[in-house]
Amino acid sequence: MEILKIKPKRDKDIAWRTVEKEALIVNPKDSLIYPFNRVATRIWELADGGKTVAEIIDEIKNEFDASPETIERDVAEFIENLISKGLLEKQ
Amino acid sequence: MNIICKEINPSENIGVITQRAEKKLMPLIAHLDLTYRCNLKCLHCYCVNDSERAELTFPEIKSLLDQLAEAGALLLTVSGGEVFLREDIFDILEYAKGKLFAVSIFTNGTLLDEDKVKRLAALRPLSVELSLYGTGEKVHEKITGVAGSFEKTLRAIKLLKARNLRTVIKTMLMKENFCELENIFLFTKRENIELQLGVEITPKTDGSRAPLTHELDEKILLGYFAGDIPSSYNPQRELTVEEMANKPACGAARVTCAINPYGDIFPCSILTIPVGNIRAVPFKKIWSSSQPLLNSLRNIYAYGDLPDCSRCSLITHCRRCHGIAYLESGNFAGKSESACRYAKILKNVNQRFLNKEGSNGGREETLRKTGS
Repeated sequence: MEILKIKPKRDKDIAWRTVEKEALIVNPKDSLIYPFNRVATRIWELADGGKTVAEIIDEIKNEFDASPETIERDVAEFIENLISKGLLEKQ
Repeated sequence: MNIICKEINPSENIGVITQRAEKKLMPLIAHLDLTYRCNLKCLHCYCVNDSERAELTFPEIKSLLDQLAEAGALLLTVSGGEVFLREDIFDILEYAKGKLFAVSIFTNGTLLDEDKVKRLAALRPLSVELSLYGTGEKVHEKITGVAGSFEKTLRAIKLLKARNLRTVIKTMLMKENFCELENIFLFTKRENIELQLGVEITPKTDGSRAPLTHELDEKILLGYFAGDIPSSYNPQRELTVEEMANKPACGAARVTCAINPYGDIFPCSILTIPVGNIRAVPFKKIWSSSQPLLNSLRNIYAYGDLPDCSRCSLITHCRRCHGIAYLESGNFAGKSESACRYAKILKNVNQRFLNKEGSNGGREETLRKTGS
C-alpha cells in the first residue's frame, strides 16, 4: 500500500494540546476542533515527519491491544483522514 | 480498534469540549489582556488603565504562556487595550504559536499596516477580531472619539481579508450607532466577513456604571431581538422546571481563566476578582488551590445551583454572566439586573413568535437577497 511509505507530518499551523494522554486539535483554517482519544493522540504525536505510516503502525502495535490487521487498517485510514482534513501533510 | 477523531464546530457545540476540559480542571479558554493602554477612547469601554502598575514583560509573558500550556490552555485570546501598542506584540504572538496555542486577536485595527498583516498571516491566528461601530466615519468616530480611526480600521479589515485571515467584525450596538445596524450587516455580507453583534454593555472593571448610559432602551432592544439581523428570531419552547434547574451556568473558573496586563489571574475576563498574581505564585498553584472563590464558582454547574435564580421563570431566556452580576451587585452568584432585563425582553419576543405574532414584513427576505 502506497500510504505505508509516506511520512505524515503535523501541519505547522495546527494548534493542539495534550492533557492526560488525550489531545485537542484546532485547525485555524476552518476553526474546527477535534478531541482525540488516546490511540488517536498517540498516532498524532508519532506523525512528526520522521516516521513512515508503516513505522507508526508498528509503534501502535507495541503500545495498544488489538489484532495486527485491525491496527494496520485503522491507523492507515485514520492518517488518510487527517491528511484529507489538512491536519497532516504528506512527506 | 477505537480511534476517535470527532469533528466539532465550536460555535455550535463547544459543550462537548468544555465538559472534557472541566473534568480535568483545564483552563481551556484563556483570555490575556496585554495592555490597557489604548489609542482610542470608546464611549462604552470597560477597561481601567492602572498606570501605576507595570505591565508584564515579554519574559514574564513567556513564562505565563509556558504555564498556561502546561495547565492545558489551548484557545488563547489576546486583547486589551490595544494590543498592537505593545512593541513586543509579534514576539508574544510568535511565542504563543510556538507553544501551539490557537490564538484569537482582539484589536481596533488602527495600527495594522501591510507589513504587520503580512507577519500576522505567517502566524495563522485562529481569528483577528476588530471593533467597527458604523460604516462611515461620523458614527464610528462618535464612539471611538478619535478622528481618522474609521479609515484605519477599514484599511485593516481589507488587508486582513486580502491575506485570507479569518476576520471577524464585532459591533457593540448602542444608542449612538443603532441606526447603523442594517448598514453594518449588509457591509459584512457583501464583503463576506463574519459579524458578531452585541447589545450587552458591561460596567467598567472598577464598578463604574458610566458605560451603561449608552445602552439601548427597552423598546429598541425588543425590536432588535424580534428583528431579522443577524438572523430572525428562532422561537423556543419554555423549559420545564427540571430543565431550567439543569441549564448550564457560566463556566468561569471551570474552563476559562483571564490574566490582566499586571499578572493578576481571574476566573474569566469579566469576573475581575483576582485569585492570585503570576508574579508571586505559579499559575498551577493558583488554579488548583481550594480558595473559596474558585471553589464556589466550580460548584455552580447549573442555574439550580444559584440560590437567587433557581426558581426564576425566566431561566429559559437568561444569559446571565457571573462577572456582570458581580459588577452590578457585588455578588457573582446573585441576580444580575441586566440579565433579568434581557431575559424579560427575550421572553416577550419568544411569546410573540410562539403566538405567530412575530413579523418581519418581508424585510428578512430583502436582506437575505442583498446578502447572498
